[in-house]
Amino acid sequence: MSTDPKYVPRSQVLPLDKALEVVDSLPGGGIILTKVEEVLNWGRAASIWPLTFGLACCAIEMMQAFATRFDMDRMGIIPRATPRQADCIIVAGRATIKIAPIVRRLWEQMPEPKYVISMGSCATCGGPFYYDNYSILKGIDQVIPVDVYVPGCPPRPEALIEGFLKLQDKIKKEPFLRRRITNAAAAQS
Amino acid sequence: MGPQHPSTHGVLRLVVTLDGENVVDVQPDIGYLHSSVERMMEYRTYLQNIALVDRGMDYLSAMANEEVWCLATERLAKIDVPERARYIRTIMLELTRISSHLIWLGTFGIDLGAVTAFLWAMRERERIMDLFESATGGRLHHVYFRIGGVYEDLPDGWTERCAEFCDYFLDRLPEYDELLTGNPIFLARTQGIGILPRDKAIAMGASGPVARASGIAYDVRKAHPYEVYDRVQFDVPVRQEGDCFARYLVRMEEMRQCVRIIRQCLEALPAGEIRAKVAVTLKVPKGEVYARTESPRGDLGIFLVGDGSDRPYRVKIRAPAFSNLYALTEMMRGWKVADVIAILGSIDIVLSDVDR
Amino acid sequence: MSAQIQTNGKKSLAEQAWQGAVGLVIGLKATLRTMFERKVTVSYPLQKVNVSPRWHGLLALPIDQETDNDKCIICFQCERVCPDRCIHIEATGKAKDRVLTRFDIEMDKCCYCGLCVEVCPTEAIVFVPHYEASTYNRANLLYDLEDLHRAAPKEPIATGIVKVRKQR
Repeated sequence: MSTDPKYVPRSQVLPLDKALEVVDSLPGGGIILTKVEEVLNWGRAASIWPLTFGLACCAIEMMQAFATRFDMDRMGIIPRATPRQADCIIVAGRATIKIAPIVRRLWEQMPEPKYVISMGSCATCGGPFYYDNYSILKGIDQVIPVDVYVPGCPPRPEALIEGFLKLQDKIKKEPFLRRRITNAAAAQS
Repeated sequence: MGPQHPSTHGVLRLVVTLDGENVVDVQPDIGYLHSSVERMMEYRTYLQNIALVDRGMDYLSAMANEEVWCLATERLAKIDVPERARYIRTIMLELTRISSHLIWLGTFGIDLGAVTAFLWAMRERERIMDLFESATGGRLHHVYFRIGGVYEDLPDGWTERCAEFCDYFLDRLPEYDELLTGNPIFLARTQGIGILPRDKAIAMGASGPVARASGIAYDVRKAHPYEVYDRVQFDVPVRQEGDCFARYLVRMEEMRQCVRIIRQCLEALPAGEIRAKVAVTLKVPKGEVYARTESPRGDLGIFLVGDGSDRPYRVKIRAPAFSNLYALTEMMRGWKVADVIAILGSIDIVLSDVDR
Repeated sequence: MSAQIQTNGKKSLAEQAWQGAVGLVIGLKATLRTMFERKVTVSYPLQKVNVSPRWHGLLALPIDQETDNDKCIICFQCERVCPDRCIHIEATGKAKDRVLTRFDIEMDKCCYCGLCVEVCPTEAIVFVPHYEASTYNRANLLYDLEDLHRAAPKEPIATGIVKVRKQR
C-alpha cells in the first residue's frame, strides 16, 4: 500500500503507465480514467480474497463468518490458503513476537494491491494482553500497515462483515490508476 | 510445515523429516502463541482472572477454563457453591463440550476434504452460541462463572430452548454418520492410521479422547467427580484400537453422552440461589491446591498457590493439549505426508492450550 | 456403533466398488435432503440477527431522562475492576460535588467481559447492543464521555457495495 512509509515505489516506468498518461492528457481523458477506475474498483471490491491468518480465538469467529449462517461467500469473499493468491490478510488473534517476522513475510509475499484487516482487540492493540506481558505484540500494526480495525473480543461475524464493507468503501474510492501516473512521474524525475 | 498452514489448527510448526513420502521423524515447534498467561494471572485479582482465563488458555472451551479456575479458588478459600449454581455449571460445561467437539468435527472434515461436515457442524454450533448468548452475553468468551457460583440466573424459557436443542441435535447426529462414518474414503484415510499404543499413551501423558481411544478408561468426571457429575448417569466411551477412526468414534459418542447429561440436569434443576456471598476483592488464605477437570481436550488442571492477598502468588496450568501434542511424535512415525493431516486433526489440539 | 462400520480386510475389487457406490449414495442423499430444507443464512447487512438483551456490545453511559445526565457517581469501581485497565476516570471537586472531567474507555483494549457493568452500583455503565464499530483509524476507538453518552459507534455503519434500501 502506498500509505506505508516503508513502501518504495517502483523505479521503472512500464508501458501501461505511459498509456495511462496519454489517456489522461486527452480532452475528457480524466473522466474516462475515472469511469474505468470505477468499474475496476467495483470488480475488485466485490471479490476480495483474504488470506486467513487465524491465530487465536478470533479465528473461530472468522470461521463462523465463512460458514453457514453468515456466509461471506455471498459477497465474493473466498478464503485462500496461500498469500500469493490473496489480496487481503485478516489477522485474527493475538500476535506474539515469535510470529511477527512470519506475518511480515506473508504480507510481503502478497501481490499488490493488498489490504490488511486487523480483527479483534488483540490484533488492534494487544487488547487484554497489553499489560504485564512479555510476549504479545501490542498491535499488529507494529509490523504491517493496517487498513481496517474491527474491535471486539471476539467481534461478532457480522462485525467482521461490516469491517469488510468498510474495506469495500475504501477500495471503491481508491484512485489506483491515477496513482500509477503520479508514481511514474515521480520515478522519472 | 510452517506456522501458516490451512490445516495446522493454529500456529503450529512441524519439522517433518521425510524419506520419500514416509515420515521418519516429526518435531513440533511451538511457542508461536505463547501469551504468558501464568505471569499475567499473578497481576490480576481472582475475579479479574476469570476474564483472562477463558481467552488465554483453550479458547474453544471457555467455560471449562473458568470452571477449573473457580474450582481451584473455591477449594482454597473454602467457599461452598449453591446447588442450583452447580447444576447450571454442569449444563454449561456439557454444552461447551458439544460445541468444542463440533469445531473438531468441522475442521477434521474440512482437512480431509469433507466441506459439508464443516458447514453443518457450524450450523449446529450457531444454535449453541445462541443459547450461550442469551444466558451469558457472549458467544465465545462468556465470563459467566464467578467464585462461588454463576453471575446471573438463566433467562426465562432458556431450559425449554435447551431441551429443544438437545432433541434437534440428536436428530442431526445420524446425518454426520451418513456423511462420514460409513464413507469409504473417510474410512480409508482414518482407519488404521496413526496408532497410539496403550503403553505409549500412558507414558506420554495423553488424556481425554486420545487416551480413551487407546484403551485407557480414565475420565476425570468419573475418577474425581466435581460439580454434579456423581449424581448423573452417563457412559464413558472407550475403544481399543488407538487409530484416528477410534478417536473419531469416541468423540461422536461423547457428544451423545453430553446430551444425556444435559437432559438429566435440566430435569433435576433445583430452585435456589446461584451465587455465594463473596467479596469483589476476595482474599484467599495461604496454601496450595490442585484442581482438575475434564475439558474437551483432556485432563485440565490448575495448581494454585495463594498467599493471603487478593492476587494469586503462582498459577501453573496443566494443559492437556500439550501432552497430547507430545504423543503426536509417536503417532506419526512411519505414515505418509497425507496422513499427517489426518492424525493432527484427530488429536484435536488447540495451540492456545499448548502454548498458554 | 452403527451397522456401517466395516473392518479393513482383503476385499475384492467388485466389493470395494459396491461399498464405494453405497457410501456415495448415502452421503448424497443426506446432502440432497438438506438442499430442500429452510436456509439458515442471514443476509447481513440486509437482515440482522436480533441480539439477546444480555449481549456484550459496546459500553455506554446512557443519559437518564430525569436528571439529564448519566448516573455515574464517580466511585471508581469500574476502573479498579477492569482486567485490561482500559477505563480512565478523572474528576474534580470533593465528595458530593464531584464533577466528571474525563471518562475514557479504550474500546480497542476492552475485552467486553462485563465486570465493570457488574460492579457499578447505580447501573450507570451498561452494554448497548451495537457491535459494528470498525474504523480506519485506531485512535477512533478511544471513546470519551461524549461518545459514551451517545451510546453508539463513532462512525456510521458501512454498506460497501451492497445496496441497502433502508438505513436503520
